[in-house]
Amino acid sequence: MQVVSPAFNQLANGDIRPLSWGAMISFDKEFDDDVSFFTLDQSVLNGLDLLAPSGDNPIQAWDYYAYQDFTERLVYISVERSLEFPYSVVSAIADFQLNNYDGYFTPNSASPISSFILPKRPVRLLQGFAATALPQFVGLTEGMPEISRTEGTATFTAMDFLTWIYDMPIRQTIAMQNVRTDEVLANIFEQFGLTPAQYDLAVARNVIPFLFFEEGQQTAGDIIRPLMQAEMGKLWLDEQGIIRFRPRLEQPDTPVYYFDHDSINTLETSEDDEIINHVVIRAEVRKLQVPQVAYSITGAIDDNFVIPANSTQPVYIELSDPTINIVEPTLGEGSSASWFRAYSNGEEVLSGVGLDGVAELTNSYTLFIENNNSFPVTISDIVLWGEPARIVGGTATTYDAYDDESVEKYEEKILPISNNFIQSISQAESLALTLLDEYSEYNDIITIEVKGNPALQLSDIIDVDYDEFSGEYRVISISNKTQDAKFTQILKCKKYTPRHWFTLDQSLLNSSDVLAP
Amino acid sequence: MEYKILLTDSDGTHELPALEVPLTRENYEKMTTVEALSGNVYDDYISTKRIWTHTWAYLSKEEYDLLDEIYERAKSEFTYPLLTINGEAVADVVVRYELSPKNIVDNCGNVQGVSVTFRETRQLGS
Repeated sequence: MQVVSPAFNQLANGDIRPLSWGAMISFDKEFDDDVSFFTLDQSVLNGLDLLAPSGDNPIQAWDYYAYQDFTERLVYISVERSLEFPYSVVSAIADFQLNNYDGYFTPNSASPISSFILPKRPVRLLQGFAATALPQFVGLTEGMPEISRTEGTATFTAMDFLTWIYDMPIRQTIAMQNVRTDEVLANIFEQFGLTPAQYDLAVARNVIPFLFFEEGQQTAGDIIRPLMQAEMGKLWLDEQGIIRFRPRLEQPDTPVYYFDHDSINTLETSEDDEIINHVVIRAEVRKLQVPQVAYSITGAIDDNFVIPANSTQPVYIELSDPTINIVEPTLGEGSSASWFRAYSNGEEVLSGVGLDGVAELTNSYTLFIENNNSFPVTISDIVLWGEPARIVGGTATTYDAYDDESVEKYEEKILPISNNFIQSISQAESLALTLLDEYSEYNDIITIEVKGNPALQLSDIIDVDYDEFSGEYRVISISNKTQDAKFTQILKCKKYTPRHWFTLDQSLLNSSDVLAP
Repeated sequence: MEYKILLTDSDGTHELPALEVPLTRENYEKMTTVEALSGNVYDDYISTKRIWTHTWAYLSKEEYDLLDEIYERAKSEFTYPLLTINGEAVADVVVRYELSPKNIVDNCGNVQGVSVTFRETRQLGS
């Protein structure tokens, strides 16, 4: 729950609630004059000045724009947040409508901002009570606004910055060893120019012995989603625009809000389709090896491949295992740890052929071979020496865990997980047991429209006091809408069973505290 | 205290004809009543605006034309006038202004039953 004053909560619980809201948009994406960017030879290193964002990158600089206030034109605001199961990644989407009676938001019109009505405009939305409008959303508009001439309105949809980052390709190759989830996340965010002030990452549980990604081959989402699945923590962009990560055992566990007959307007239950009583985890557990032959081929790499006289040609080698620190090969068997041979008319060529450079990726290696002879040569017998990360045991590891009692009651409900970030049996066991602990029993999932409080956040625990639905619940999706002078909050909640994890030097042996999976 | 209505626009501040009774003010509450499962209710509201109405039994042609000019100027200049009511705590409040039809009742151009409505708002374009 966002930190608010007791007076704010009093207003939220009051009989007559004075709503407030706000919409701030930077259509022209001008920077705030109060933000000073780092100037070489003038700014102090580690001082207060910010590095200017490179190019037009609103994701990098969402905090630095000068936002215009369009609150007076608001017709409605709707912000929705939900957990992407089973990735533990939160995505937020916002819809808002503005009064456009004068065509101010109409593209290609006489509006003074007409040329700035474009996609990816930074937006901040707020909802609250009286003088306190709480931040609810920061993101970018998606597409062009929907203009209704008859209604005189402009309707926008926006996605949070993290969702935009997921779709962006990785900008630099990553090869890391013995890293935690939070360290990988930090590496990715740094690639997109984010400063540590823009994210808050708790120390993760998972340690990944070896990990690699190639520039441009995957999006940030391709990495972050399975990374978070393996961790089963939570990654989200909070209402103030800070990216936050919390591991699975550091989620809120005490109720922060209370709802009863007087504060629940509607209540519905959901189906039991989220039961999981059998988890099958498949992972290629890799371990970085000591320097050794990482690749070898005997004979010609390609019968048709010829390097003409006095020219250079690339030789592309796909590596079966990601490999780092490859020693550059030289001409002639045993001439170095890595080597290759060249032939001409069946005769081995011993000079005039050499390496003009390499392009080293973790999953491929390209040799640029230069032939300075006056005759063409073919390349054969390549041996590369390096440090490959081989699959432990030679094949993928499969871990199987199920809850007999639940299978008997509800039939088998399997969740298959294929995730190479799960790099040890203990990690797989921990993830599987956590999933079974949370999902193997039928737990009411309720959707309630409440007399809401915009300070409530996803994952908060709430206390419900309403007939047979009474108990503690975790908020798994939240929708806050202000329209027609009404604040509508709809919460999807999952029954929560408190767990007290055993803490060394704090918990008593044989007490009710249980070992964390 | 003498009650007077003043309207200000780009042409200056104009004093409207002397008031008759009643000068009515009502509050326009943008409010929604929500019923909880218990049957009890609470109210959400986002704004309160004021609406003033007044009717003159008769106005001269000149008096009506003044009101009409202010109304037409608002439309041609895309901006609402500012309302001041001496005697009430109302000073330079942006108002949407409505004027009843011109109902001429004699050869002098006198107009019968002239109503004005001022609805508090804000200049959205500014």
